[in-house]
Amino acid sequence: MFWKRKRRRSRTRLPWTRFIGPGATILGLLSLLGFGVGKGVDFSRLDDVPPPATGEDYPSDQPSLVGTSKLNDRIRIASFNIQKFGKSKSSDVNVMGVLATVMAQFDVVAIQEVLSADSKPVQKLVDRINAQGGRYAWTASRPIGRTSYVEQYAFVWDTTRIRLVPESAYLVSDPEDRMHREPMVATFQTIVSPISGREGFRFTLINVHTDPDEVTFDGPENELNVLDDVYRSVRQYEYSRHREEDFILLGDLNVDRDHLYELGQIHGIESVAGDQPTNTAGTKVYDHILVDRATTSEFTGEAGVLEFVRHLKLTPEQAKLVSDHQPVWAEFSSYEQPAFGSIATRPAATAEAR
Amino acid sequence: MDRSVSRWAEALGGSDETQRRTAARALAIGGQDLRPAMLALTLAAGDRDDEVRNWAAEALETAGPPAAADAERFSQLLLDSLRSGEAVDGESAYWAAKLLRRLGPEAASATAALTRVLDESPFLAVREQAAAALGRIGPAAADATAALRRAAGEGVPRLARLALSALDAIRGMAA
Repeated sequence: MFWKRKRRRSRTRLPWTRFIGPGATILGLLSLLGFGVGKGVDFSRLDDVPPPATGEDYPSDQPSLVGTSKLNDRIRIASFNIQKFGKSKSSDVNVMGVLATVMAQFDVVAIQEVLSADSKPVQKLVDRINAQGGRYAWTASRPIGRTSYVEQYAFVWDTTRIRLVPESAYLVSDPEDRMHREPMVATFQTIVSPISGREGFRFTLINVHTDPDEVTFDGPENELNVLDDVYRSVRQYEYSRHREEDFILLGDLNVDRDHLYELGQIHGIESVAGDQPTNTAGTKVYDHILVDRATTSEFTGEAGVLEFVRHLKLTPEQAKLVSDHQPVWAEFSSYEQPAFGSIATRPAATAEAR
Repeated sequence: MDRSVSRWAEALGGSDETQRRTAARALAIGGQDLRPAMLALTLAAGDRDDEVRNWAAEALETAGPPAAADAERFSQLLLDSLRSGEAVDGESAYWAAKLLRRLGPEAASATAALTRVLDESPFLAVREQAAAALGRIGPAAADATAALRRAAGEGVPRLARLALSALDAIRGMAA
């Protein structure tokens, strides 16, 4: 069995740039197939999410996946650990139908646990969304991990509403091997109408999947005591290069929000999806979207968990086949707003509509 | 999901690849107490089939600590991994050390095996887990002191950190 050995040079001092390394990995593959622009999903009403159009045992009365009520003045960002998203799961038409439905509700989704060196599961998922009227694209990291078991991160986004800033996706550099899976970073910007006279919201996402054995104790090896350094390093790096101000760390952290250790102590940082369980069994909080409320005034205050049984009408057994995690989401204004301003208010549903 | 954990564990050791896949997946998503299946899952984590290996790792990831009574069996698995010909895959040795780490001081009887893999395993991730496990055992792992000092001096960042942390724990100086 293949097994990679890591032998790295030791360094005694850690500069702030220690986690930065855009050259380390950028696997960008855009899928710009498809046609038709959805009008969107009403983000305040997850009960209206259309059920997945898939096999006969699954709810199937919705011909088009792409949202019917997405609003132009706000976007929804999600994080989703698609448990063991590899060849087997991506070959299951029912599960893929559910996953496509999930993705179509959001404008950008940070995905964890892709298990395929060639990213085919993500490509198939985006193809599925686009075959039903979407225009989604994706990018993925290289496979990462300390043993022969490796995972990829991915981002999937709606190209009618969001663009990936070119050359902005990378894995953070981790020469000291502080994290089992070093986070993936990418910067996006909303696409807004030129007639609005306003700039689209530009934000940097830090996609994370911690090792559950490395987050349950206090000490310097706890990955949550490393992630605060990662967050600050990425923030300083992106600000110095691009004057970027908005950073959202999201993913499967394997702890609830009372156990975020040093990550949770960053000034202004808040896990906005709250204490609602994120696992499919409905018993644990593992997944988070961390927003700096002081600087990211674009956050509207709306966030939550998309529940497979409640919102997608799946049975508990069907839900378990999709993933042991459910997507967490947060809503933001589509327009760039000054940092340190007041929290964005939810605009009227009809405002700025195209 | 009507088969018991023990039956699924038995299926994991079978020659039928489809059954092994089914068993590993059932154990990973079933939500049961996996202690009766942990040794079988640890071996399955090194299965030649990707799907079996991945689901076994998934099951182990959230399974919690094994039964303390199984420490000896995981120790033997670690020692078997050092034999020539790779009778036990590196991934299985990694999980064996990781599960012993979860046991903490209850894994004291595994000190000798953990010390040997720390010194001799060709797989860095196994050595790192062994160092971490010895640290969790604490003062009862004092016999590993020399091996931990050697590991700390190798200049491999994470291994060195874990070894130094383990030495502190053995001296009763852990944070």
